[in-house]
Amino acid sequence: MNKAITDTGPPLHLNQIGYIRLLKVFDTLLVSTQVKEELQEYGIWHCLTKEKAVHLQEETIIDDEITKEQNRWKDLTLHRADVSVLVLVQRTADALALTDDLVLRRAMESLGRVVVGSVGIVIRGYREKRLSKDELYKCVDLLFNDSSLYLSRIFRDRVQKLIEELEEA
Amino acid sequence: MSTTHLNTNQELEYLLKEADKEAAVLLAEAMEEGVHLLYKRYVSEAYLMKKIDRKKAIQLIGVSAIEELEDAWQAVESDIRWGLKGE
Repeated sequence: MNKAITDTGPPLHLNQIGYIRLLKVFDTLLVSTQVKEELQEYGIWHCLTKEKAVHLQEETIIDDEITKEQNRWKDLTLHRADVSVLVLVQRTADALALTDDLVLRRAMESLGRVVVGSVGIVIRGYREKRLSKDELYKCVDLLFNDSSLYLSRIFRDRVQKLIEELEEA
Repeated sequence: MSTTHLNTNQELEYLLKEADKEAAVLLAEAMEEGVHLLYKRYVSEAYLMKKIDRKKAIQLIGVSAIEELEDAWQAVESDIRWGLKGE
């Protein structure tokens, strides 16, 4: 079962570049109540539910769980929705974690989880032949230029070069 | 929260109306901040594309900026590996 827990970032950024359908590389997306609320605020929850191949599973995280978890990560700048993802990650043993937030990424990695961001999802979409090579480069270009991803266009050329190198390897 | 993106002219118009500063002062500030951002971006690009070494990059924009860049790049590399090979 190809499950992933996501925060708001990857659906938001993939939607901004018009490729939210790439989330179909996962069979099931697990979303905490708090992340669902953020996605609804951005108008993305509706887009996700339209992508019928993505099975969405909402997980209720109660305030007490968040407050307790917040104490553990008090040195980090994390919002409640981020903390809800950390609770969910610890509750779900066999799921990948998705985020484009570096602080949250490092926190989840410190829990021993594999974490992937929008760049990884786009590239997996290419590997699974959901994107042509031209579309892959277009997606990378859009992610670094047009989305609000934390990464700037500084990375774009290096990413494209690295994709070529890894493909040849 | 979603943000409304204004174009440069609209942003400038807002600043001229709201910042209570002379246009020349505002433009000088904008120039200074803009040049600083561009400078950081070009140094970062040069470092990532291996046109300058780490020592030189630190000299030019400081160790914290370089460490932040390396941290972000590490995440991107790990994403690429996972995407291509499922690691």
